[in-house]
Amino acid sequence: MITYGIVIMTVALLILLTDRAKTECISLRFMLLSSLSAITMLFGYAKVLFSGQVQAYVLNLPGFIGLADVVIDPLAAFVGMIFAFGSIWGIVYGHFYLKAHPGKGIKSHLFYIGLMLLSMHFVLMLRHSLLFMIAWEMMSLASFFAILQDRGNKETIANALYYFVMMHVGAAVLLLGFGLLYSQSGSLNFGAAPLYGLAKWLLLVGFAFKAGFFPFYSWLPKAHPVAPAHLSGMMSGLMIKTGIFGIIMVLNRASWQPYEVYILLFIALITAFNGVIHTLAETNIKRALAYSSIENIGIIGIGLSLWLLGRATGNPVMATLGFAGAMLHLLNHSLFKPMLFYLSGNILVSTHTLEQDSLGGLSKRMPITALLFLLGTAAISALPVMNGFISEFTIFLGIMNGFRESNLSSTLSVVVAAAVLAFVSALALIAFSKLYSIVFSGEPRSPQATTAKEVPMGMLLSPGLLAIACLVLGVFANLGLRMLMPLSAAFHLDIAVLSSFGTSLNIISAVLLLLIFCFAVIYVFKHRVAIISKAPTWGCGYGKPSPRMQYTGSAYINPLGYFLKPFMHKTSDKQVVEGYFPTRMEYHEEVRDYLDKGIITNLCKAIRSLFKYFDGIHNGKTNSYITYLLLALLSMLIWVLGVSR
Amino acid sequence: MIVSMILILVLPLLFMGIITKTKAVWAGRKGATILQPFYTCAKLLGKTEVHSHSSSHIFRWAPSLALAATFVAALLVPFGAKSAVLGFRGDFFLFMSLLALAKAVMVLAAMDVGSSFEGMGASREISFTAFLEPAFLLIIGSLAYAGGFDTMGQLFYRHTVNIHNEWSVIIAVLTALALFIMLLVEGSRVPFDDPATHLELTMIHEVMVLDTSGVNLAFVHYTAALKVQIYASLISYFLIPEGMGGTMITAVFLLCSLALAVLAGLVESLMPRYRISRNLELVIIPLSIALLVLAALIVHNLGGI
Repeated sequence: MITYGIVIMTVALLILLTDRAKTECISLRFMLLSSLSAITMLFGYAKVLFSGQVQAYVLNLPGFIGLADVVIDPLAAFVGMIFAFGSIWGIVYGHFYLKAHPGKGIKSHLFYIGLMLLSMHFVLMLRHSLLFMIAWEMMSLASFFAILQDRGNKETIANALYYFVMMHVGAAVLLLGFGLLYSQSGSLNFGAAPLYGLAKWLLLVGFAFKAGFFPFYSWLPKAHPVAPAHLSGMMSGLMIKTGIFGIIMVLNRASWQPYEVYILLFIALITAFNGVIHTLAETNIKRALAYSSIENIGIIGIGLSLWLLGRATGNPVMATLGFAGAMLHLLNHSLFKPMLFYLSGNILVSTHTLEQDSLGGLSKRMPITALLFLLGTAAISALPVMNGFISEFTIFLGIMNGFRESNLSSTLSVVVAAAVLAFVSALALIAFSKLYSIVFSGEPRSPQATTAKEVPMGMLLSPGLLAIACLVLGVFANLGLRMLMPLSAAFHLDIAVLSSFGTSLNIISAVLLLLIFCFAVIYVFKHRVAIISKAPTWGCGYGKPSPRMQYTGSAYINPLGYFLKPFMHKTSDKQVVEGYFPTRMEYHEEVRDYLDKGIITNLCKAIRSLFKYFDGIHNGKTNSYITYLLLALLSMLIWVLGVSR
Repeated sequence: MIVSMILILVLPLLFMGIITKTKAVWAGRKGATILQPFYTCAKLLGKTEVHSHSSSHIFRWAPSLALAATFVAALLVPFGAKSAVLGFRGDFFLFMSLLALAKAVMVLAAMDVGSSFEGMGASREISFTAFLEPAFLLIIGSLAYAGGFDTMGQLFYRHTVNIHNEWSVIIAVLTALALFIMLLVEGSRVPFDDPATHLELTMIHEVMVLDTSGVNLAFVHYTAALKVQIYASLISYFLIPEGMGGTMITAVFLLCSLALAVLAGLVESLMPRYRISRNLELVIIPLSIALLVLAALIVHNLGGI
């Protein structure tokens, strides 16, 4: 069935290339065909996952490629299901988004999106390093070209190129890792080869570039804001998970010493912390969401580190819950993050801006978008009734079960993980309550926000369905766990732990239903009793309040900003007010990402100055080129006649 | 269970009444009766609600959801009985998240009216979460470390101050101190905030609900009181030994709650409110205490002390 899905997608791409119809027809046709392909694949993957039968094929390819393994194991099936499910809603949203926000070159844009989705599935299946790298590159390049939809904008081009370069640095490291693996095992098929030494670290770093782990995350906040909403949703919710997929593959295949696990845990903690700090400080909605993706990747990383730590120290409960938490968070993040990105697209279509400080009051102007965004906010800040709560609960439970270890270092690392994770999830709540309340609450801060209108129904379809999925997985958490069961068997986890955990999840479902029931009763009672009248907001006696007097985002996080000053590197240009009646004043403030602005920019500068030397050689004068030729010939003559003899 | 439910419904407002009474007695006044919060709530239930023109749907339902979430959270806490009404292994995180949910919706409702006063209160209130959540987690962690992981109610119930075991005293005293500070912070009491200075002069909780009125305000008052009482209940269970009979537990529990209310009242009478800009620094104290306890326990367990 998966093969059928791939064939349908290929057909969809071919039709797209040859179609000469109107853009809207093309887009609709592509949407239908690729959704059909995704649904087919979804069923195919589900069959593999739940039947527990690993599908393995060997392709006999000409030349030095030789025999190539194609394997669909439970992990690939699990991630593949997530990809297939997510891509349906991404493409459906994309169709309506492009209708409301038309641009040039939609045909090629759709083609690249299709190619990206297709190659994401290939990445999951191929176990032959050469073919894997081809699929990996195809995915990076296709997404690069797809980002360039709005290519008239200078920022888009610059940030897309940044993404392009980062992906290729990552791919180079990956290639190095695969090369080393080949020299160790003598086979290009890496499915069965044992992983050790430098190769596993190189592969880990290569995959970390895609996943967005510290310190390789800097492309996310650049690429996501300039990409169209459906693409950023799919990239952030789905594509970066190929990195996680690769990391799990490496982690599972290699053996890990406790001290190596501590390094991984430390990196995951920094990733989560750094991500959430920037989410807190960021003023652009999509950039904030991109940073929050980094945070969530960090949380997944914490779960995976607990899994390894449990394996290394012989604590099956922590290992099982850590792995289950990471996988549940992977699933949940692929639902709520695209949803939030799609909703940010709605905001962009309706107000033409993504800057939080020029929005406000949208909940009365775009009520459905606001309600869905609120649900997404609850999901991403791990509040009950939504699914984010379940996965963080799993990870915390894993942490609690690791407290009573006999050796100091593992106990300490688990305690630190607990404290940092709790801090991070509290900060995420603050960041997203800020995002929601600045954008949707209060009064509009700009004319665009005042005239905003609700988007067409089509653009609410995908986020709405994703919100329902989040709600269902949050209340009936056992559904998510059931998806994990076959996967856990394949990873040799403790099924007994998971089934007793399932009982806890059932109790949680009951408690959450009780919560909903209590809320309904109280609200209905209140609705009956209360008589409501309307009045202006109490301004403490001040008669002329204006929207500009509302609390701003940076004021909202100010109490914490005082504490997090070392981590939030703020730059501002203040202008002194002059004269008794100053007419105009500008103030600009920016929270800088020290990784991007500090390390990467300086590194690029160093590389550029190195290449300046070569620049001097290449001066465009024919006579100097002839001189080089002559010199080269002379030196070769000397080599041949003098040295090598 | 029925006893717990009745206590959950009645005790919080009584707790608030006792605090006010203590303050009045200390100042040499006669003061309002300890049933005054009940009268206030009853009066508010009959009042018209005034909603701001700027507010949206969230302002209408937020206090109800906060009340429901806090109530369900209270069901996970033992209230004058051997165990909580509900409980399962790992319920501590549900408890924390339910309180966070209650706080989050109230903050969003405050931001919804677009008043900068309420924004200020909301921002302060939610900033405290960043330090209180890890602190509570570590408290649970150290109790679990000392006696094995269990439901939250059992963790507190099983741990009792025992004079002959210095570690139980250390854990109980320090943890109770941390929880008491959390009570003062979460209840927005002196020294973190002064609920007696009304409306816009208060800094955190009261200013956050400046535009809330009528039934909603009654809900908000009860929710805030319930939250304070939850922390008080957790502290009381350090003094309840494991093998005690049912009615005795209720009696000791009531006495402890009374004592804590008087203590909170005395703190309010004796201490001034801190400068608001220093508040967050003080909110870190529970976190440091929790870390200290846990670190001491780990060192003890590994043979250090």
